[in-house]
Amino acid sequence: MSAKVPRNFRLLEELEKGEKGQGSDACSLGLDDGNDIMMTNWNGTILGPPHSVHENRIYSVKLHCDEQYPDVPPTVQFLSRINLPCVSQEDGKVDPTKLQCLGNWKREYTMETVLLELRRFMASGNNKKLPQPPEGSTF
Amino acid sequence: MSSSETPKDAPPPEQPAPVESSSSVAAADESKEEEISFTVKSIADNKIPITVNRFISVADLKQKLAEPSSIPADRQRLIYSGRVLKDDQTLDNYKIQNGHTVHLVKGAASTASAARGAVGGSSASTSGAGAAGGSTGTSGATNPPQQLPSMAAGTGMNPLSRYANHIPLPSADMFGPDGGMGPPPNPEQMLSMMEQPEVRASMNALLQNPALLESLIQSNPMLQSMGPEVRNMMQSEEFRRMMTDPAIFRQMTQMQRMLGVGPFGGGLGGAGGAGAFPAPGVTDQTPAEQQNQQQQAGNETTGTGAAGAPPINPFAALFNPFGAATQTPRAPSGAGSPGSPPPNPFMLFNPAIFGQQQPPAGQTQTQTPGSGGEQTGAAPTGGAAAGSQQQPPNPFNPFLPPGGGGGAGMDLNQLQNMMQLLGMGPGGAGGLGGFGAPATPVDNRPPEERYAEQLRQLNDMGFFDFDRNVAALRRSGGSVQGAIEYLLSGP
Repeated sequence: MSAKVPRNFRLLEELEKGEKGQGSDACSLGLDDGNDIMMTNWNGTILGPPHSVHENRIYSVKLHCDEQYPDVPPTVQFLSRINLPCVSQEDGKVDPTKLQCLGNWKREYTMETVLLELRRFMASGNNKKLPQPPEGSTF
Repeated sequence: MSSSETPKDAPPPEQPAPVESSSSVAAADESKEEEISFTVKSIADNKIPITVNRFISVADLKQKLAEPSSIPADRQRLIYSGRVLKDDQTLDNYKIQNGHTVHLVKGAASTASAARGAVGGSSASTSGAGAAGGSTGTSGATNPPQQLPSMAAGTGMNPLSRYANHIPLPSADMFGPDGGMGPPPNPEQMLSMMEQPEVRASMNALLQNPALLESLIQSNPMLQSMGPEVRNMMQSEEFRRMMTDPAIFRQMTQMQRMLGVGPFGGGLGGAGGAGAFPAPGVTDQTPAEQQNQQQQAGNETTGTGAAGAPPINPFAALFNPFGAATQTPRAPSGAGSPGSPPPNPFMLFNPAIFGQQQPPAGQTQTQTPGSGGEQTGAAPTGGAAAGSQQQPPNPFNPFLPPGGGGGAGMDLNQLQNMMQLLGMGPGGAGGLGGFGAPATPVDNRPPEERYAEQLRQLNDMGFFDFDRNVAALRRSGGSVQGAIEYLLSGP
């Protein structure tokens, strides 16, 4: 990366990608409030990875991009209840130290990266077998 | 949704009536021109363009999508901008706009979906039952969700299964035990398969699919550990081309072998690999005190690198450093290879074959390249010999006695015999004719161009007489080794 892409350009890019469905099919991303010119709060969904307990589930998350994004990672909070080691069982917040892509955040990462990494995390090792709360329950 | 419950939680424009009439008398009254066109991206990359009134409910949209997507409305999940669309909301509530994309996935037709959709208050169980009972003649009504076999329910989510009916899926073992990123089990097989356009097309399609990539990455711990970048890499055009272009694949196999990591290359130990594989920068390191002629040859080298190389070495066109690297080992190792066509993957074995062939030069012709390679693999010493044999062209070692390295016991006649067998004529016509290498068109280029690389090497080694060099190369069919022998034995 030669030039630093400013925050709002980056977020606009991600917004367009989300709305036009150019990103991965496995996740979706959009602004929580379309009128928010600061583009701070976002919604995301993650389709549960196949061959796991998450299969066929759709998880909703909230992402918060503060002013320093993308120099710092967004904060991520699950709305749908999920039993996952990196997700707090109290409020659904994702612990950045337990998810590699948040802990070792790079500027090139996007919110889609985070969602896809979460999805990958769901499908990895033991996580795909963890008993899950009933579908549709929320934090 | 069912006619019994829609009225209480649906906005006014929504009609409880059957779909056909629903979209909709009331809605149309309110705003005729509020049409929006967007794309619904379903599984299997099925894109459904749709134009609807922006005030219809999500439930109505699902009814409309039931047919084109062949997913019953009650199993559809619509996702837009990170949100799961709820049945009782209108599209306008979600601010779906022209040209945007809504994702459609197939969920289990369970009560959970109804629970998610039912903000309006009816309990999950009742609305679920209501949906099943009251849905307008879709299969959901006759198919209680609980009885759906779990496999069927899962099909919507498995990125591979979607291809089951559409394209011939390459068999699982094609991807190898490690998910397809390792060296292929059998390069020749792989190659012939990749020559088929259908296979290439389906590979392309597969690689274009993010979901599949996702599962590929998931299934491979190596990729997993590479983190998110690998996804970008795999999605790139370049990578896809590399994966699907047989020519490039061939080059990759070649390089693998040269480096000693190929399936048959086990015997070419580290030293052998290194010897056969000069550093990419080698071409630039011509000693300054060399004669003008040498310069000229060097220039011509670059000339062929740019113009002549693509047919010979696709990699050269793509990645120059690689091109230089692969060129260099090829030329010396391939008896008569400079003119030989790329479609002959067997030539790639040359370093290995060379090691094998020296002692019994006369018999080499009958030896298949595959077995040559395997033998090398079986006998590591042979591999090492092949490696050191490649030393002479090394410009840092210009005065190494010809045939020095590993070829100590080689005698001139044997070598020339072999050269003749392998690379006949000025065109170097596809050597190894024993197993049907395609005929090469006659090479009409002037010798200094055709042998640019070899001339350069000869110059590096201290043979400066252009005419003699060319003559020697002609005799040897383009082999530097052979040319040296000839030059030293000096007529």
